[in-house]
Amino acid sequence: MTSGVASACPQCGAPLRFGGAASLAAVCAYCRFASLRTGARLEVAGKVPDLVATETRLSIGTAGKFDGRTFLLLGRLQLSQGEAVWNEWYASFGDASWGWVAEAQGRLYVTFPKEGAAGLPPLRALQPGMEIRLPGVGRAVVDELNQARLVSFEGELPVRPEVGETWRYADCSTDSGGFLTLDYGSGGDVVLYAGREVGYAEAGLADCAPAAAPSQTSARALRCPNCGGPIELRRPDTRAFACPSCGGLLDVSGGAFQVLGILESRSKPPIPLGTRGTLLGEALEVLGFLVRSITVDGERFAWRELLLHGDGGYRWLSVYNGHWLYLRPIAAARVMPLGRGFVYDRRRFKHFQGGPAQYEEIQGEFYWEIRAGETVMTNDYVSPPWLLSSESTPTETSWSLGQSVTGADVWKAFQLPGTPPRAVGVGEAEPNPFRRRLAPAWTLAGATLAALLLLSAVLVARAPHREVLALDVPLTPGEVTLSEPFDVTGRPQALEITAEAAVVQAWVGLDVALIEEETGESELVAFELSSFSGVEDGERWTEGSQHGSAVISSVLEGRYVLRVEPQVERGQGQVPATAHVRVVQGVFLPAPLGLAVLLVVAWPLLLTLRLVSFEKRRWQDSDHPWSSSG
Amino acid sequence: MRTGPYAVFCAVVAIAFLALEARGMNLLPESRHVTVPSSVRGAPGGYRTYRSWGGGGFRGGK
Repeated sequence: MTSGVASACPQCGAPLRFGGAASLAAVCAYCRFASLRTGARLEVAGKVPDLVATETRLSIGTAGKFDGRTFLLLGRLQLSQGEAVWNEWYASFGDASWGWVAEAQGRLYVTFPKEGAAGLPPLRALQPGMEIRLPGVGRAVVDELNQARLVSFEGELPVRPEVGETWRYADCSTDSGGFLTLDYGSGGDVVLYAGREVGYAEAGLADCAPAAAPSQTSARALRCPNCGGPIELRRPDTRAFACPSCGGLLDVSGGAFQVLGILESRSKPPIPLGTRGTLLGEALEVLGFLVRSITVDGERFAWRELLLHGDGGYRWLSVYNGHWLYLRPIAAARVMPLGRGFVYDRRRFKHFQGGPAQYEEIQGEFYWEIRAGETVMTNDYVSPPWLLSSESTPTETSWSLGQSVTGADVWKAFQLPGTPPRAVGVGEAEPNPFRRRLAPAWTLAGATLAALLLLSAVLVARAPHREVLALDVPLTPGEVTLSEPFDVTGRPQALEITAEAAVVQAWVGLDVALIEEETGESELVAFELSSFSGVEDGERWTEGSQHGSAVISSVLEGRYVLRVEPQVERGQGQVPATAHVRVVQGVFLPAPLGLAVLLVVAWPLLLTLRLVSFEKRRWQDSDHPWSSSG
Repeated sequence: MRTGPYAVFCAVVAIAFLALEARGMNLLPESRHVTVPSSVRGAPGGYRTYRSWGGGGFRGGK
């Protein structure tokens, strides 16, 4: 795997080995002096400070694999942002190539130098969250802009390190899951390192993975430097801890704990710290609790968040007004801007709310250097039951994907006593309960309406529509006309009586009685036939109708006569000598069809109204109340 | 109402529609029922002079 050049430490004479083909420096394990290799010559570069204790389980000589190639860890850099220290391991591969293996938040990042990469953007052109295009890589998003100071190192290294030297860098992600570092060094040339995140198991380093959910006995039992009270750290990569006894916020990233301030905590975590459970298939442990707030137009909105850790890394549970969200970090490059929102995993998210959010209360432990009162810019985008959340600082933008869960889900997952507090209002990513019922309801309504229309067409086509009487009725006031008897045959059916008279500027009323001769059962209908027109205020008007019709329901088989008694108001108009009256048997009735249509659409219409009302309530507290959110 | 009960409801509505059409039942009554006494029916010209037809109560137009 390595070329293996054995030598002796120029400082103490102890054996010194340059195992990697690219190794330029090595630290003597005995005297801690660094030696730099220039050709076959070694020169002493000075004593290296002791390593800072970290919780890594990797070590020099650890072997792993990446994309089918094996590697060996030959050395490491210890870097720091402020007080926090992390390790970047120098990995030598069998094909003489090399890369860095970094550990962060329970994950591994393997990157390789891209020699000769040209057209890389200058540092001053970058901002967290911005999209860039890199040669040979394509689209990437800047996740973090920061600087790191070299604290210590050990073993072999492919660089000539100087303790105290500061590097500026930009960490980026790609939408294919890639991870990039643009290393701007201390102001010199930029070097691109490209690779991806890899799990410990995939890298053949399962035994070196940080414990996902350590047992209570494996947690570090320590004492608070402020009050002496017992504190227990559950995670090895914890950087900040809020003492439950005195409220002291401790920086625990270095060897010695430092008190950063005293916090006031008035709130009780909805799930006690240290509680373990399984939510959405992930085994989790509650590590920290935050109260955060955002002030919009002078109104403060506060919500609570729980930091969790599980097999998949860090997770969050957020609760506002009894509405819970389960969040996990995602790569920024997989979030694509679209209009005022974003697209993630082919799902479109609309902007909901944004603003500077403040940490008001802090309890428990955190993997970053959290500070009370610290403010980050937050923006939430929703596509229920999902939510995208971005949090930005001047140096970093991170994205999380949230999923709406119920209080009952949370209570069950962590086996909490009692019942969860009742949710108030509508949660920002709460699924609309009417949405999943609406589509089937409208589909069914559409199918039923289609069936009704088809049936109606068949009924219209098959209706007998048989004229059983046609009668000319003299329009002489007081003169009653009786028809000859006529037969209505067949099953009970509707009978339509129509009347027509070409009246002009006059009015005719017809009292019509359909009389069953044998029983005397009669149905009475009345028609008004009129036609008036004129001009008023320069506008022409017309009213009335020369035609009238009425339907008589369920007329039984039998012999009938029709009695017609006219009333006439002629005035200055014209009234014809007769009105024409017809009786038609077996007509199609539109009223049952209309009622059926109303009944069928009533339910999906109600669901639609309730869906709209639900969405209106969801958006009323957003930056885009319903009227403008569309 | 879940989809199942709603489907049943739709089926009932469709069947009711068919039944109403088959029986020629108009849901909005457009006529008034009167029973003419047999004495009227039996009398010559009784239909013409019977006073309880009610008529439309027309009181004229324009």
